[in-house]
Amino acid sequence: MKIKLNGEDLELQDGAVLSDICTKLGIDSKGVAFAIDSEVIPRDEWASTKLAEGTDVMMIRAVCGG
Amino acid sequence: MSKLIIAGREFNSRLFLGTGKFSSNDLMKDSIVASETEMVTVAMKRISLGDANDDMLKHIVDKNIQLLPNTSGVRDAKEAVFAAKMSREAFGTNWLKLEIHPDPRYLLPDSIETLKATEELVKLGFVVLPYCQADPVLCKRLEEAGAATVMPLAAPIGSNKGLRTEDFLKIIIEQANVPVVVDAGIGAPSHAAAAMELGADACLVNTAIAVAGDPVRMAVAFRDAVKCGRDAYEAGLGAVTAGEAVASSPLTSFLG
Repeated sequence: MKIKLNGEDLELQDGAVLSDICTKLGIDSKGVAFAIDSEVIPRDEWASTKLAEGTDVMMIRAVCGG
Repeated sequence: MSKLIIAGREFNSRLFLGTGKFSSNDLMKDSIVASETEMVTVAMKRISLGDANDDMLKHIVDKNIQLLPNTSGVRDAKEAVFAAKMSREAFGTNWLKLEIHPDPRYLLPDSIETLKATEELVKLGFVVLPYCQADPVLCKRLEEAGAATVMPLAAPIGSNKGLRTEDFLKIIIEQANVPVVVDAGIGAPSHAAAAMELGADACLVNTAIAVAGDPVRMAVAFRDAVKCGRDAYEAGLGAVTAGEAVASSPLTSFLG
C-alpha cells in the first residue's frame, strides 16, 4: 500500500504501523515525531497505530538550528 | 561564577549554544564540547525522502546536555503549540525555546502570539523559554504567564550587531524574577561579556560561533567571555563617575 509521508508517496507493506516508517527509511526513532490529521501521535502508540492506503502522515525530525 | 538554575535544573555554564549554520556536524560537535555548554538548541523539519540520512542528534554526545528544541518556522500560537507537542515526542523533553517570528526579513518575534502561546504551553506542562522583544512590559507578562526564563533579543537574529537593546535589557534584568537570557544578535565575545556584566543570567549564541573562521576557538572565547562577564557582575563593578578622574595613587608629598 501507499501512504503519503509529508506529501510524498511511500510504499509500505499492508498492515504497516507508524513505527514501520522509521524501519523503512532506516532512521533512528530518536528525534522523530509523527502526526496524523494534525494530531500528534504519542511515541508509545507508534507500534499500535495502523496505517491505511492513502493515510496522510506528517513526520518531523531533528535538524540543526539556533 | 554561581550556578544558573532554570525550572529547578542547575547549569554550570551560562552559555547556551545554537546548532545552526555550522559547516559540518563535526565542527558543531567540537564547538559544543569546547564551549562547555550544558544547553543546546535544536530545530525540527519535515523529513523528505531524499535526506533520510542526516542524523544531527548523534553529534550531541554529552548526556548532561539539556536539549532545547525550538519552534522556528511557526507563524502563530496555534502552530507553536502543535510544534511543541511534536518536539516533546521527538526529543523526550518538555523544555522548549518558543520562537514565533512570521516575518522572514527581520525575524522579529511576534509578541502577541508569543504571550498567547506561553500561557497555553505552561498550562500543558512545558518549560517555556520564550525568545522575545527586549520589552520590559512584555517580559513581565511572560514571567506572570509562567515562562521559565525570558530571552530578549540584543539585535536581530544572526546580525552580530551586539547589544543594541542595552537600555531595555537593563530594565528587564532589574525587574525580572526569572533568569534573563540574552538571545540573538550577540556577535562577539565582548558583547556576551557586556551582557553578563549588566546582570544577564546567560547568553544564547549561535551565528557568531558557527560562522567564525575557527568555530571551536571562538566557542572557547565565548565560554571565557561569559564566565568573565558573570564573575565581574557577581564581584560588583565599580561606580562610573561623571567624567572626572579619581586618583588611584596618593598624589601628595612624594618629592617633598
